[in-house]
Amino acid sequence: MDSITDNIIQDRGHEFIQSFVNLLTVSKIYEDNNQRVASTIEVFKRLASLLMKETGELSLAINRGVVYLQEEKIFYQRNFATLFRKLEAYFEERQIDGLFFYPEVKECRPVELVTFARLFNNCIKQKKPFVWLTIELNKENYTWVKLYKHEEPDSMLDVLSEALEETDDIERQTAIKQKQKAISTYSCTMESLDEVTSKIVAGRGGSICKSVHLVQNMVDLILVNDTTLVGLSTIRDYDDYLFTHSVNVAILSIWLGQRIGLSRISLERLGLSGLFHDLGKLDISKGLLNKPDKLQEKEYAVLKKHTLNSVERIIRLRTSYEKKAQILLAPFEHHLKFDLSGYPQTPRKTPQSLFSRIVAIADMYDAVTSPRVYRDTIWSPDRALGEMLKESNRSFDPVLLKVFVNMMGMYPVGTVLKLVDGRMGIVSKYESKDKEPARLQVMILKKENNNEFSKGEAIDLGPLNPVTCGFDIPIEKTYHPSEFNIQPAELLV
Amino acid sequence: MKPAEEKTTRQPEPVSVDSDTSISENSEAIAEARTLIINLNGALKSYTIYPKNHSISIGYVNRLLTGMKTFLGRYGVLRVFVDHGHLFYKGEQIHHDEEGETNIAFLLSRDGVKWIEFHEGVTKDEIESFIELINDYRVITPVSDGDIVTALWEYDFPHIKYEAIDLVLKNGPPLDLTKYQAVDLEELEDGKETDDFQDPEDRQGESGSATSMDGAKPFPLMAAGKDLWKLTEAEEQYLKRLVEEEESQDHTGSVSEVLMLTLMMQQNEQDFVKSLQFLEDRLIYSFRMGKYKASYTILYNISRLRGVLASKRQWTLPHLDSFIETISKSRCYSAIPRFLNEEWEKEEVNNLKYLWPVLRQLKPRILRILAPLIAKIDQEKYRQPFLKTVVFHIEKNVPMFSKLLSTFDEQMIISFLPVIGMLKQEAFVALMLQLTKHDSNVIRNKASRKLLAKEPTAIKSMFPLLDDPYEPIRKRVLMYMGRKRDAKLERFLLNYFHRSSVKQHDPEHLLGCYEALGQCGSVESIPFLKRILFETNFRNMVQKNTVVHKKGAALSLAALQLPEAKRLLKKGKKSFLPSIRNSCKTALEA
Repeated sequence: MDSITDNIIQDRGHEFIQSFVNLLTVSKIYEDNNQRVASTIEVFKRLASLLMKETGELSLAINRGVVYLQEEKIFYQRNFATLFRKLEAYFEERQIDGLFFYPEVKECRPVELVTFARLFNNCIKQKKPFVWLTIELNKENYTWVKLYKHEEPDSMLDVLSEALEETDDIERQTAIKQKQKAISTYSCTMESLDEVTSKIVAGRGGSICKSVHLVQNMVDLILVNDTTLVGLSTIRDYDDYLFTHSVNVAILSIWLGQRIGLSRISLERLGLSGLFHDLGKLDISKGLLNKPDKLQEKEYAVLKKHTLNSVERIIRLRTSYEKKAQILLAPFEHHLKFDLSGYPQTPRKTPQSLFSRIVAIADMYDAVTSPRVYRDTIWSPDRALGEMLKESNRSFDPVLLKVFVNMMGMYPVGTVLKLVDGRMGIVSKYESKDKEPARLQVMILKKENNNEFSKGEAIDLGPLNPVTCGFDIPIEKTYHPSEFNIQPAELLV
Repeated sequence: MKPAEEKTTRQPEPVSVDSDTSISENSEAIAEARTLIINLNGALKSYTIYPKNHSISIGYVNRLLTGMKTFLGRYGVLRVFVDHGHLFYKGEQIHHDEEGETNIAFLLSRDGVKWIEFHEGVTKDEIESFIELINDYRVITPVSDGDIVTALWEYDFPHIKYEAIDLVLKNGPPLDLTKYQAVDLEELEDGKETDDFQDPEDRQGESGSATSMDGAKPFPLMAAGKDLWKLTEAEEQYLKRLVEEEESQDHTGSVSEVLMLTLMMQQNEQDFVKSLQFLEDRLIYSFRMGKYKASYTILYNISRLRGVLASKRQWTLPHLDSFIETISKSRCYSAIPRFLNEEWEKEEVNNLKYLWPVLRQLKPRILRILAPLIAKIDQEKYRQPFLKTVVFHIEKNVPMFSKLLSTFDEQMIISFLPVIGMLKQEAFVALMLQLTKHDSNVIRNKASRKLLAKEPTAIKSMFPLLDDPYEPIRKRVLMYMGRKRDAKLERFLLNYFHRSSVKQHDPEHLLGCYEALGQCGSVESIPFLKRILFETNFRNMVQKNTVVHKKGAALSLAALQLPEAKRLLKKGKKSFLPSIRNSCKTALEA
């Protein structure tokens, strides 16, 4: 079905774009009752109906010269280059990134379409064409069309951009650029995962091209010891756990892989394995995934099937079979424990692959430190590591887990602490160098009137005392940041 | 090298010129860079038309490499800026073409490459891989793994560097942390915290204790002791080994096993088919890579799976059968000679052993692909098992192979004759007889020789060859006909003399026929031979060759070695007609 839809988009997409451009052109030249106008409208409506048949609506967007119809990239063809450039110019001059047409467009009167086209043409004369046109379309009550514009950059990136402009220090510039890259990579990976899963849910295979690119970015960042991306892996989303969890697992897996010396190409594969390890959960109802009570045996059996489903979903991804083969083992095995207990239980008694062992650790860590409706536990990151250590040798490869614990540190970044002097803080940096005792940096949290926390001063708790395993400023207690509804990334990045 | 978020620079690099010398140096360098790009384009184009090892492709790559080495030796580095359909070097345009997939500048720009840089030391391998990479991503399809930039990242060439605009990030959404809810606020107010620690996926609580983490008491990391914070040498060695194994290991076997397990558990037909298709790709891939053990595992498991599912899920059977059909059509097997002609290490030799059982599990249609490979396998130790495999398939479906045979060219058939020679009698005779009707003299001759040498009785099915235009074949047939008395052959030859075709043959052939008749014939032939020898009005049949026929009849009678025949010859010796008299005299003397 997906290929048929794509074919329609690819086959008829150019015609639709041509009809749209024609509509804009003829409305400029001819009167409403001109035969040419009528025939153009007819073609436009016919093609719009055809293309929106499956989804009920139609989106046309342009981004850096690439035209997207129904979110599908329209393949470049030389004979349409001029048309695409024309469309790009139309949109760019009007500061519009895209248009949505709704089913009502099929029923709208020809005069409405001509009016829309004229407004579209004329908005170029306005100071803020997008705003003006939006208002005009509202005035006309044209509910069958909606304009689309990229959202403004978020404040986090804004702040970084300003900082970048202000500094001449090349080292600092590089650091800021890396931060920007990490933030964008995180959000884009979430988006790419959303795209892939939406297509899977719609019964279409998702392309992983973007995901590959983003995982490469993650590898680059981790290879230069960027801490921002790691900081971002503390993001938790109670409502839409699957996406943040998958991205976090990818980051943590790559990080652990880098720690043990995997090559960058292996890290790419590992990252993709982590990103798609839970794809099979798409086949499980949200009701079951988020059921607060204990699961019945049958329900648990369905849940356990997600590893198998993940393999099925990966097989259906739109990518080469080599790529699929490279990434499907860990999704299948990540609940198979180191001692081969766990699930799925099969006649195959081969030890877990290295990637599966890594993803299993990253998955478990992120999962047990993520608040879930069916679990009362909200563990602090350090406690989670401690509990995982108890499972060393049984659930996890003991050496890999040891490396993971070392990597995360005694108090992983994002852990909320209460110091003996009563101050609250959040771990912002854990630095462990060869031969030197580990150091812990903490950002003091200031409680605001609205019960939220804001950034305070940054303090160094000093080097770890190898005998007492404590720091100069003792820690009284640790918490999971979600206990205070804190997103560590918000404070740390 | 792929920096964070590079701003798009659409302006080519500014050129600074200090003196006349540098102007002249610059223009020389620019001219050389332009030539290099022409050669690069030529190589790119030739790779789309010819294989990598074709002389034209090799020629372009060599020219490019030589030019590149000279250039880099002189200037150190070649950095080419990309701008839509143009390439720039030192601020000068060195390439321009229409926007499209045939334009390297367009392709690089499409995927975000800002500049590309070749450094001293660049190797032929790098250049070839670079060309292949560009061609691989010339057209981006929905199933593409990535684009030119992701491929450049993966190759990580030591002497080819690049900088790219991060198009994905540039067009991505901003990160809005406010939309992520860290925790359920209602729960938060309840202030829940418990020491019950569970595997997050163990949702059955105590009942699923096998997978739950029993953590009644917290385990503070501080209590772990200092050993936790430093890896021992043994642990470091262990990790090193894990990494080495991972990076050198072929996971085909594991992936296939996993896929097999998914098939085994799959209840949904559509998913089953998808998994099977993937396995098909996997099998073809493993075969292409010469991983025959992995291919064997897949096929073996498929056949086991068929057995298991036969009673449980009958709907799977047509799919499994069609799986074997499909892979039997694949062209992946054409890579076999490449693997068989190499000298392998012991481990690889062991892998090669799996090739034969794999090929045997395929459908006979595989012969279409295997047949042309026979001539390409040099090593005798592999040639024999290969031939045996081919024989195995031919015998499974002789009619199919017979059809296939008719499509082969002369050389191919000749190389196939030893294979046919290995077949069981019935198939051997049928196929050789087919070849005795081939257009080529050489093939007919070889086929008739081999056939008669192995199965002399087949002569009874080879009468038509008496009229074969190629003399050695006719002679051979006659020779075999005359080897012993045989009523069927006798009857055929008697009839043959009444055919109009006999008139067209030369005297030697006619004499051969008579001699053969005498050797295989009996008293039954005497009336005919008597008539030929003594009747003078035989014009209708033999016209100009009266003498030859009489001579032949006399020889034939002599060869019969019967009293009656001898009596007739003696009678003829006294004939007043010289043709009869001389013929009989010669025959009796012989």
